Amino acid sequence: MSPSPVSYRLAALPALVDPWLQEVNRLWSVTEVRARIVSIREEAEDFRTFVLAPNRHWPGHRAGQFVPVAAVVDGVRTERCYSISSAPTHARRTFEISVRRVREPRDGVLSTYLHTQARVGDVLRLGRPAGDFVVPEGFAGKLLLVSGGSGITPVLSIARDLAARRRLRDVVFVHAARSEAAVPQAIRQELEALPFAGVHFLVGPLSPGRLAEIVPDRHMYSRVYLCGPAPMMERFVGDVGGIPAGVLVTERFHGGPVPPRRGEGEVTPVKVDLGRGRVVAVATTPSLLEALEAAGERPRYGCRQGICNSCRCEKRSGIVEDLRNGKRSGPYAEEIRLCTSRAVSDLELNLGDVR
Amino acid sequence: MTKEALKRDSSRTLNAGEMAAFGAELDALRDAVVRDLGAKDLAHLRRIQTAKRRLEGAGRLLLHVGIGPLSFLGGVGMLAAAKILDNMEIGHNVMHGQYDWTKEPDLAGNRFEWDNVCAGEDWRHSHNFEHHTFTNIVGKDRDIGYALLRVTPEQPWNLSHFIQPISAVGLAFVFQWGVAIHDLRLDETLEGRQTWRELFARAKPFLRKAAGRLAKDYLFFPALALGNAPRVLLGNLLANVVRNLWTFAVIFCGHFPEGVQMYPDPSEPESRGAWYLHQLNGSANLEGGALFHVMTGHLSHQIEHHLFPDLPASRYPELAPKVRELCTRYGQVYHTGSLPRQLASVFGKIVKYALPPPSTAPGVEGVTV
Repeated sequence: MSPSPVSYRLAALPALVDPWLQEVNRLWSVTEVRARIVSIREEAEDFRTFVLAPNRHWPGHRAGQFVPVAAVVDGVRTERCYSISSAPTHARRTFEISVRRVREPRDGVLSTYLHTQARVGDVLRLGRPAGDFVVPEGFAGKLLLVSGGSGITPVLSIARDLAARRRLRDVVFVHAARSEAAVPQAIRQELEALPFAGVHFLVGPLSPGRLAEIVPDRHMYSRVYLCGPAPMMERFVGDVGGIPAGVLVTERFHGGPVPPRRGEGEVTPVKVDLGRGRVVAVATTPSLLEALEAAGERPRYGCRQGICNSCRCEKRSGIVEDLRNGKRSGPYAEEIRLCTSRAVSDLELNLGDVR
Repeated sequence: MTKEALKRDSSRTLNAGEMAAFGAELDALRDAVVRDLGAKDLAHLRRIQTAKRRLEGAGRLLLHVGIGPLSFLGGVGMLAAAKILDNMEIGHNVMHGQYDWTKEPDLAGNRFEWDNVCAGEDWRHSHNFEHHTFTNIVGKDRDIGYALLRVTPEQPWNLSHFIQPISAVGLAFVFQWGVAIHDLRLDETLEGRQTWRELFARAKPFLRKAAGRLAKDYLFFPALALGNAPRVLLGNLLANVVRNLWTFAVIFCGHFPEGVQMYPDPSEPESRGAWYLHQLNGSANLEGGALFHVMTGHLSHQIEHHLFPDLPASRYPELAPKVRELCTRYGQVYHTGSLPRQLASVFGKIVKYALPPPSTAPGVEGVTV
């Protein structure tokens, strides 16, 4: 369906008006959430907090939610989700994200930019807050908050929210840092000064066994919130150390598990999820366009040789290889050309209006 | 034409091995630029967008509140410059997907719209796909003379071509409309190869787009100007005409000057090397300074654009000497000249091919004169 002329015009309105607004003030926009960095705090080694002052489109967040953050890094718009670390009631509508610098070329693009190039006064483009890692309204039971590394951020937001509402008596907070230098000292002092049932800052990896030593009565908690790096989360999968199922609430970050890559000559088909429950198995060679066609799909195309851009579509997740230079994509959402890409892992694609 | 002149003006035929090597060298040039793309490329486009916006704002302001002929001409000039930047350095290039790598939602090639009555969707089909894939292939590239003019002896002659020196000038004045209805295949309907119903369905994006553009320049802004409405309406009309004349001149100089080659239908997909060779010999450059290049949307580097349609156009000037050096090594002619010279050459052809071909004319294989 083509949009009606009216919705077509209205959809174009922000693109027309926003550049003029932003000549006056870079925070202004008709629809987009934007925020100015008003201060930056060092929390620990490679771990910084950014205090953000958003424009009027910011709807506010619930403790434990994350926000998509975008910046142009070396000419490329780069977007990642960061958990909000401040409580929802933060003064004057500013809020905070705390970002661990990921020292890896592909995954660390935005965090490295935020740590090395972002300055106070810069404007970041944001999405709307989202996520289910939240404490239900009216929840009154015992709470165990467990985090590792930068996984502290959503848990910290929950802890600060509970502190603001004087609901700390039944709450235990456990955090594991990878080293002494990685312990966020200011946060530690802030939490230790609050009347929690327990606050534990540890150094070294956290396992279900270690958690059992620190919190022997963990099965007494009616909710356990757990957020940490992938290896820690994996240790808790299937063995939550005596925590009954249905009690554990987890949050993953860094885009979830990376799909396994396939070898060069491998011809095993990969699964391509086209949305709305449509999943097809396609070959990894020669091109995604031909593989999808062989699987009975009819994506839009033109020249079939990388000239005309007609077959461009959104890849929501998964890894593809550019057939022209052998370069592999990241696992994140981006746009690709079907005729010059081949699947390297399972994919999620949005083919739009398929003919 | 003497045999010697023919030799100098025509490109050497490459064997399959040379062709592959030629293609590989061009691929390497492309890859080097792709690896180097970054902040400065996006900054260039953003600067052009800002310039366009300010020119349009200032131009419209002069037309709306100015008094007298000087502010009128200034307003027309600025608005025309804004429309030219919008259509060429911004619109044409963004719609090729030259800035898709930035992942900026407002620069997505497959969704971008420009200040032109040609709907982006139609343009992407007739230009990005048909023209760039089948450049100068007679019978497949409908950009050859825009299905109206006969610019090469390979095109069959008909009666309408008698008046083509006049129709060409007419087309230049309304060029955006020519481009806009190009993908509708009106000629096919007239010849009975497309039904009127199909034509109407095909025309929908164009009708919607044209209605919007007409309303903006000839209803909304004149109404906004109140008493100055006639001045604003005329100014907007003139700005559109200036843009039409300029884009016509640049685009016709890209593929139709003397020496540029036309091709028969290859009937099967070309190899990468053959496609590169075909693009090179089917295009011609224009010489000028940096501002001239920007105002043509870098289509002054038509050759580099046809070799690398999805590289940011501002990279063509740095690629040009490398492509030229390649041409010298592979014995290929690099067609280039000034705008007046190439324009004269194109008009010479339009006049020449207005007349029916003499029935006994001997064809020179592979070379078009």
